[in-house]
Amino acid sequence: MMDNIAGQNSGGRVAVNITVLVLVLLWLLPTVGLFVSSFRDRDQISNSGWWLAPMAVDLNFRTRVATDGAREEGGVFVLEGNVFADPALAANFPDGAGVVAAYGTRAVAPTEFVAGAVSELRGGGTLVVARDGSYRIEAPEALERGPTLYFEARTPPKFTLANYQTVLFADGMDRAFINTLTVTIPATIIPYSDRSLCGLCAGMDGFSGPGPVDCGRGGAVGCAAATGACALVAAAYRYWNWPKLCGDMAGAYRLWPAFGGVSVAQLHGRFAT
Amino acid sequence: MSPVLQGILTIIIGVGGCVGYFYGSNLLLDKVIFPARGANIGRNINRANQVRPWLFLFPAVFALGLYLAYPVVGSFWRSLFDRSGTNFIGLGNYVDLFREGTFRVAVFNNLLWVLVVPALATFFGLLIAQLTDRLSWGNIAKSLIFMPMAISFVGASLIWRFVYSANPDIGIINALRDSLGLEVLDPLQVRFWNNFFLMFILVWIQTGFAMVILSAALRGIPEETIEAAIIDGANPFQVFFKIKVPQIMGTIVVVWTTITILVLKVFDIVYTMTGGNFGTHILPSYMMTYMFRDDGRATAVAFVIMLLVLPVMIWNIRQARAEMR
Repeated sequence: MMDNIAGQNSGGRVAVNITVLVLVLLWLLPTVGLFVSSFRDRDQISNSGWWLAPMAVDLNFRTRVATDGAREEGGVFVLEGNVFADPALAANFPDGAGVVAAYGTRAVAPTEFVAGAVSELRGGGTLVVARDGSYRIEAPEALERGPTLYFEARTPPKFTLANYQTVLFADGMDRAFINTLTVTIPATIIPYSDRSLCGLCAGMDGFSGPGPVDCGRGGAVGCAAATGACALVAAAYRYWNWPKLCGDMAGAYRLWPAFGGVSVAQLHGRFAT
Repeated sequence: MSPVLQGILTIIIGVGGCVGYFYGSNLLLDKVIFPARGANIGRNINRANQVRPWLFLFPAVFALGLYLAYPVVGSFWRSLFDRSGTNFIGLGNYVDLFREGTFRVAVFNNLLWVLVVPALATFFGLLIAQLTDRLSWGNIAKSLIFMPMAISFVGASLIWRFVYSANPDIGIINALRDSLGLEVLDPLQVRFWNNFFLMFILVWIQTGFAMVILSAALRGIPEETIEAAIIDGANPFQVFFKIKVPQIMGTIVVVWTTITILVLKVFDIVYTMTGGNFGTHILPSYMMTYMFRDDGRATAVAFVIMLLVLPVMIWNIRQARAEMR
């Protein structure tokens, strides 16, 4: 509108553009974090920041070693396999391959040993898990049940709509959604129709006298009182056990500030003119 | 009944009842009580016009009584009773309040909130309104900054966990500290300063509000005044501080006081972020801790808040009225 006015310089323009850009990014940052996180699954959220969402994440997994493949080799029982072959982990490692960073045999220390290092099994024997996930257990006697292996592996970034699915189809969600509409629609329309008619009154023929104007002023002071927070009303309603005019306390809580705040402020504004 | 049907019915009853009242009562007045025909037609019309405003005012006055006067009086009455609600203890709740250390902390913190939040929100709002005024993508920038206004306080608190979380894999502050080799710390447990971290959440939300109002005010400034100043050789800072700001001072005060009033009502942020721990209580959150345990005490706090906000409120209304004239 005033682009051709004197006193503009291009250096200032660049500075303004950059400042606004920085402010906008600053303001967006937290929301972007929420937005990105909403598409990640729980393990990934707690294991790497949202700003690393496109990167692979180190996650801990566990697998139970099956004993049926055991064979005897020079006096020791040997059990070999690959941790990524576990069908239970197929969702995370679809092609049955991955990179193990560390492993362990106890849930409290899932990354006790570096991949490739040999560790002692609690029941006797040794265990080694290589980086490619292949493991080798050597035990002096046949294992009755295979040990549980814990390992940390790099998993590719995963984006999912599962969170939205959970929330949208959760129990009671439809009810909450409807309740929101039930409260917000009348709480918007009623005060506005109300206050527009109040405004109409002020301009009506033959309408004078201090009465309604005083009402408006009183309402304005009441509006001040209104700031005593919604909780005040809730408390009063609890105490007096008032007939449930607005459905329930939550209804009163939501409707009241919308009604009181909007209509009173507008009403007063109308009277002032 | 299905919840959808129930919801639709409620909306129809509410809105339809409201519209129906205005329409029906008006019709009744004009056609039945003082019909504009017959022998007394002139007198009838005058009378109808005398009554009509009261008819239209009635719902507002009634609602004000029900939703304002009654709860205020009721709450004050309740605050004179003890926890059980049966023993009258006069001002006992108020005396206990002022004796309590947490209450004094809450008052002090609230004072900080009232000083810092409106000041920062108005400052940022004005800054952004001015900077985006002549930017080609100004409207996009403004929409993005306005966005937090659409988020509930609880939602905003959740969002800010991604900034403040003590876990460096979640909170961006600790991620930065971590990458710089600093020790991880919980910003919300840093005494005194944690109040400011919480305040900034509200500043983040309210800046959009301040920006929109002030932006409109800036647009309303007569261009001749600015042009004259530029021709007289005023630099951009002089134009802003000596020409623009004085002309929108009234709006700035309204924005400032409106946010102040809001600050005195918001409990959600403190309640969800720290629960009032680590010395972060403010009056509304302090009230909430008593809310369902001791109504007498809770209503007493509510009343203290009300008394504190009253002067700001009156100032706000006066300014708003002055603006309208």
